[in-house]
Amino acid sequence: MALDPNPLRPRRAPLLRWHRWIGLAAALIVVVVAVTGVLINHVASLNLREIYVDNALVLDRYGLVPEQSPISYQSPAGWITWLDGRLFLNATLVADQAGQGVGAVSVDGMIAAAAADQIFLLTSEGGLVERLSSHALPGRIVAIGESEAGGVLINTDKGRFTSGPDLLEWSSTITDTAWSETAPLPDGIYQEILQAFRGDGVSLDRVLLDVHTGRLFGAWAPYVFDTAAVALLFLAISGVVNSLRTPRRRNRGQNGGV
Amino acid sequence: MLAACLFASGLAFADDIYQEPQVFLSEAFGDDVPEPKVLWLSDEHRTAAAQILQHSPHMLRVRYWQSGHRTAWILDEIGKERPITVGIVVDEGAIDQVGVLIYRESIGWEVRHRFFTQQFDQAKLNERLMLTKPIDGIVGATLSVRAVTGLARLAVYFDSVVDHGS
Repeated sequence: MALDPNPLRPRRAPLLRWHRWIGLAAALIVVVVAVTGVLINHVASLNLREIYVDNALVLDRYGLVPEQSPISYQSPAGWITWLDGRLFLNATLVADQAGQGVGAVSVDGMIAAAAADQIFLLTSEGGLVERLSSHALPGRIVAIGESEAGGVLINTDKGRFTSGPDLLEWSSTITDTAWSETAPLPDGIYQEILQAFRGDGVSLDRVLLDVHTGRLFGAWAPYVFDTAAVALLFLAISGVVNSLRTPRRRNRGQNGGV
Repeated sequence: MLAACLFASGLAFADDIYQEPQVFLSEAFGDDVPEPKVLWLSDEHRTAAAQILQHSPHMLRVRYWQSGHRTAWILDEIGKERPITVGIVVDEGAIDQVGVLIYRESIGWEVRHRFFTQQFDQAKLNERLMLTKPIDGIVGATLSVRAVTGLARLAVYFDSVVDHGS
């Protein structure tokens, strides 16, 4: 029977193959983790907290890109816009949790901006005078307009109602009016609203940290990064084992190697 | 981001309506519910409201119902993420009734129970705008307790600044 010139090879090969393939599989994540880790370690000296990311894909991951199209109405005080449940007068944020707009009218020098289940009474400068909740309304609003008496007329699921300019009491009516209608928002104002919507964006150090941990890529991504960490442990162990098993160069030379 | 928006009441999510506001007002005033009035908030009022709520009020006026020395207030305040609608009746400067009308948070709904709200009965405000009675909290409902307590204090304060006609 012929002797195996290198009896260690058959036992070492499977571990080496695993070491190679796991190393290749984990390489990309390891590079990402290593590079972001180095940068995170030098956040202060590199001023990374002062740099803001405004890339749409990144902002989308942080929920800073609106999911809905703006709904806008023109008023004497400017553009009334609903965007993702937020209410703006021109580019000034007036209220959160503002529902979805159905119209806006001028009333007694103020603005009545109506969503389905609430009315926002605003000053012409965008100050919130009062938010009329559903309990202060006769029904769910589908349209709003100005009444001839200088008050407000609303069309609801329970009929039409009118109120004086103070919007304190509602009385049923059959009067019709020119209902408030949406209008195309000028792009310049929309860009200003977007700026107000997302603020400065996300600081680069925050993005780096979330890339480093994998959180930027979704709820499942940290588990992939965890797997990569386990792979690194395996690589370390298998590397040491292989190193211990590998014949020294001097020995290989004695066996006829280079 | 916690949007600390006072008097907000968006109804985009399911609301637990424990008592219709109109029913609350009927209980407060009987069959003769007065017409609503509005209290315009001066800088002094806003400063006091901010002290009570730990944030500035985001509105310029508040509506209320009044019959003699008895006033009723339906106010909203965010507990953790969503507004809680609370009705408060103040009589002769002391709380006569507190009721959670609409609850929109996912936890902390225990504040609607009478065992909690009855603690406010006959409470007044001292010079530091604190209630004259201790209010025991509820484990797991800290933010809701804080919101309801803040609104109760606010209602008594507002009651003290409206014209009672005497």
